[in-house]
Amino acid sequence: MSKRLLKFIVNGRKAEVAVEPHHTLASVLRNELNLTGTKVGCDMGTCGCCTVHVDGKAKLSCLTLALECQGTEILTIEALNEYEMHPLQRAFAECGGSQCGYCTPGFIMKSCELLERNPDPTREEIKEALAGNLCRCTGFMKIYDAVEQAAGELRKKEAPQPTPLKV
Amino acid sequence: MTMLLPKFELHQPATLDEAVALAALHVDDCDLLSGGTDLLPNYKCGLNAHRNVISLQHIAELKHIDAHSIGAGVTLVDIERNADVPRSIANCAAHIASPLLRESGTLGGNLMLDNRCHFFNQSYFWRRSLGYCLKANGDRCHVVPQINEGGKSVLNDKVCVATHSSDLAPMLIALGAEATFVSSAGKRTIKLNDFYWGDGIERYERKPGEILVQVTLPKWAHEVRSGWKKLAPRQSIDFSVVGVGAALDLDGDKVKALRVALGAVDTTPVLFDFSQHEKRKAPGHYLLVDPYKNMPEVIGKKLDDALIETVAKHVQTQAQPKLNVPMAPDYRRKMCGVLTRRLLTELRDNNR
Repeated sequence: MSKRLLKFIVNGRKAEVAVEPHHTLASVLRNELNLTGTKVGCDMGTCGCCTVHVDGKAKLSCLTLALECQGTEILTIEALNEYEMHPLQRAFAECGGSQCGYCTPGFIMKSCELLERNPDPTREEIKEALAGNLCRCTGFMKIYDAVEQAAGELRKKEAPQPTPLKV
Repeated sequence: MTMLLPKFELHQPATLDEAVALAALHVDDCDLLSGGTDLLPNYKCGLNAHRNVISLQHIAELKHIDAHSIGAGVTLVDIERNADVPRSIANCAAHIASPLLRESGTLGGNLMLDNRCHFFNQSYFWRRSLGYCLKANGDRCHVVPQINEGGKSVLNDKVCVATHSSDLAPMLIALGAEATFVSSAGKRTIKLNDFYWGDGIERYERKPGEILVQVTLPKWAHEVRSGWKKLAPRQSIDFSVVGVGAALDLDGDKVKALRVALGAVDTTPVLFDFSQHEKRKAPGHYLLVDPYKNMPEVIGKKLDDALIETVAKHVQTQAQPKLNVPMAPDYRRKMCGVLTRRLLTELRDNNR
């Protein structure tokens, strides 16, 4: 049960962390790498707050063991805005899709994955994709509006590639 | 709220042989981890945690999927998006949990899902305050505290009635799937229906150190009409509280074969094979469902509304949901009949 070296790429930068086998990806990102944008809500896989991208797939970091991410590429919410806000983030702010803001990183990471897969989703497809994220403030409608607005904006121009975060 | 995982040693074999060797080495004290969406929440609650966890995520042999066999390590998303497997299986996979959980969760994990109960899936603090239950650390069942033994009512310290909530298991059982296991003793193929047996603790016959490799579908599964219906408090995230899978083979409008499998009403999936070719072993206890008691004659008859009603009535009568997952048992029992009726009507009217 000793610590092992975990080498992976977080937001475009190489990272090496010594982690214990029972550490989750969420705890390593937040506690070791200080990327506290990723929130931990229920810690049981229900709420979707802790969503990050592991090799391009939106996964729950609270139910992913850190050592299982050996050699993978992780994107967190911090990757989306280096110089300016990502269209998704701007749309969430403009449409009121974020109120207390705790669930927002999870929503944005999941909808980011959805828009990469499907640049022009219907309302139903958005609902379907975000079915695993819980928001207790907005009532979801403003979130769906925000994703639709961001999808329109992203279709208009070349999507900004997620850029490395400078710490 | 951060919940800490208990300490364990993580093994990450890259091949199936290594995994089998590791499982044999730590046979008394290990768990297999695939997606982790069921195991890790249980670990976080301190439920039957072991000191060794063998991860099956990096084993390529388990990730094969085609029309007739699905590897145990295939994620639910991949099953959902696969065009070759029967539509009913893809549809069933698409309604498990939430999109985020399906991204991690695998077929093997779904089939080996731990049973669920109000008194089991709780935090350590919660369980300590009531007194532990039969399934974790305790010596009595809180759902069925008394059982009848030799005409006397005695404390239930024997039968765990935790509910088996897997969605794919009843669907695959209805289609007559077989599961292949490997262990250091060799390979074993067993009908999924024979695999599930026993109470909420035992729940399946997995021999020590065995690893599920793949599930094989018979040719029959592609030829018949099959479908899946599920009842859950919310459409996403929640475990099903009633699941009905059915496979229906029609000869004109006469029933050639009919298999209905219920999920989440018993400690294992329950198969109602109306041709009675594949009987489940006797349930072992009167608290568990016996599907073949007073089974109506269906084969060779015309599948009209009256016959569907008879089948639905039988399924509803035999199902015995307990008060240990959300929603009242009475309601869930009625829904077993309702969902069966809807599903069979749908299968009869829509060709596939």
